[in-house]
Amino acid sequence: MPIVSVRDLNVTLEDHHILQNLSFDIEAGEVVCLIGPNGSGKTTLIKTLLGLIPYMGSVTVLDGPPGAPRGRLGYVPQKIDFDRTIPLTVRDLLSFFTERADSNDKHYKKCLDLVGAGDLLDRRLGDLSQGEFQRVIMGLALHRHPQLLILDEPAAGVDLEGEVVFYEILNKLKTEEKLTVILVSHDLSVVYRYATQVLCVNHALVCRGLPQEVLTADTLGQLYGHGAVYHHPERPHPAVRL
Amino acid sequence: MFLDLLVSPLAHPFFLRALTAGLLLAIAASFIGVFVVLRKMSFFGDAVGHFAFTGIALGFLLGFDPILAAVVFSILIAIGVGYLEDRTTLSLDTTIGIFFSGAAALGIFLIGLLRGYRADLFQYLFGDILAITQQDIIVAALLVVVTLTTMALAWRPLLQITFNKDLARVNGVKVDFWEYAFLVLLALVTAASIKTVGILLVTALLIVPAAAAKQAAKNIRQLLVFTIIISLLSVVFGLFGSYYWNTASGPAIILVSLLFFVLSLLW
Repeated sequence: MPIVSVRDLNVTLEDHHILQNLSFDIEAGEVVCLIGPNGSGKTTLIKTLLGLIPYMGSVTVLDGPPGAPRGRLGYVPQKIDFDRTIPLTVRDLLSFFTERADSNDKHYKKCLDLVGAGDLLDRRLGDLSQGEFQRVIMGLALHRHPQLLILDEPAAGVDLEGEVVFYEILNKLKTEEKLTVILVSHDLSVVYRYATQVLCVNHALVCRGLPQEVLTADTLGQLYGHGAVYHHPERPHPAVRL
Repeated sequence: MFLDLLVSPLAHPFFLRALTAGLLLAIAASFIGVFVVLRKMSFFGDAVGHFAFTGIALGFLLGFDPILAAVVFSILIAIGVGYLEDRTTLSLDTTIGIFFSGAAALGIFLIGLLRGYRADLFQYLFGDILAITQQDIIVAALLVVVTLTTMALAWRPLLQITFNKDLARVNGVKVDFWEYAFLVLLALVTAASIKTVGILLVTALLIVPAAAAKQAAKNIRQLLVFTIIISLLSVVFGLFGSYYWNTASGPAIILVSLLFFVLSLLW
């Protein structure tokens, strides 16, 4: 039984057809990476799975319609446009997103320890680096022990070192917490290293499969335009970011 | 000597009424003000003051209680702004700008239709402690009860919405419901505060204490506590100042809160 099942998904926003006839399944335990050029509909697909926008077609997430499985689904959005001058600590953030019964330092620390951010509890959000901030958001997404974690370009704006730490934590969590992960990423080395399935989205589903099968000159050319090349990480070339 | 200065205004029932109503409104306004500042809704708060002005003019013209008319009119227009923002491509500040100027124009037009000179209209523009009645105190007390009850339920959802609407929705928050509930509460508090601080300065009562508190607060709880303290002190010092210098209460209260804001910059 797939954890996510999508059939003939169509999304139209303000007369623009953003997604057309998408169909795919995601099984439990998979790490699915969504790739595609800017404006191709990746974030729209994510928001559809989260139940944030209207759609046509059949979408099942964790045995129910999108948006219904509250608590069983964690979400890390694209870079959050947050006013860094607001006097908000990491503890504050966790306290108003968690249930009252779980509003205690022990629970907050447990969530943050999962992402190596246990020492950030008293820090102001505005004082955190982008890498620390994203780890806190991931800790927040994990606070109800979700089965499915959806991340939309979680490492955007994070420096290279922070990015490596972030994905290592994600990889560890995937195993330890038995998570299914859906991840939007422009970094093909990340996709190559961590994905068990790649979905190439450019308004429609252009390709789908294992990274080794999908990250080829042909499919990347089809997705990003001809001339796009990916040198995979085992070779002595730097990874190309598309 | 100091004690005399403190006690002698309190001997006047009108001053006691103003102080009681002012302190109650300060508490309600603090809860709303925190979110007005955090959600960058100052312009909206200002506009609601103008909606209330039109409501008051309508009240006079149609023979209703002006404050009741202000409350109803402000709520309807505030919801209208929220609705249009959701359903058009116009930005929020453009939508507010349209309603803001429209309400002001309609209010002035309606006043023009009133026969004769209406001195009582000025008390609504600048605030007048002499005008505060026993009924206003009851309204302010009810408003505090409504605000505290709503905030007990809305505090966490509104903070989630302030942080990120999508995360709030995924967490099960009914974003639209709480946003409209906040608009209604904002309109209520604004309209109810008009007699004390006046239409022209009602937004300042919402914004200035919260802005001053934001400079000094280290976390969200401190932000709320500091806002309440600054609001209460502004009302107390402002009303005493208004009594001794024989000026309108609104400007006196806001000037004191501005003093706190300047002090917060030096924190």
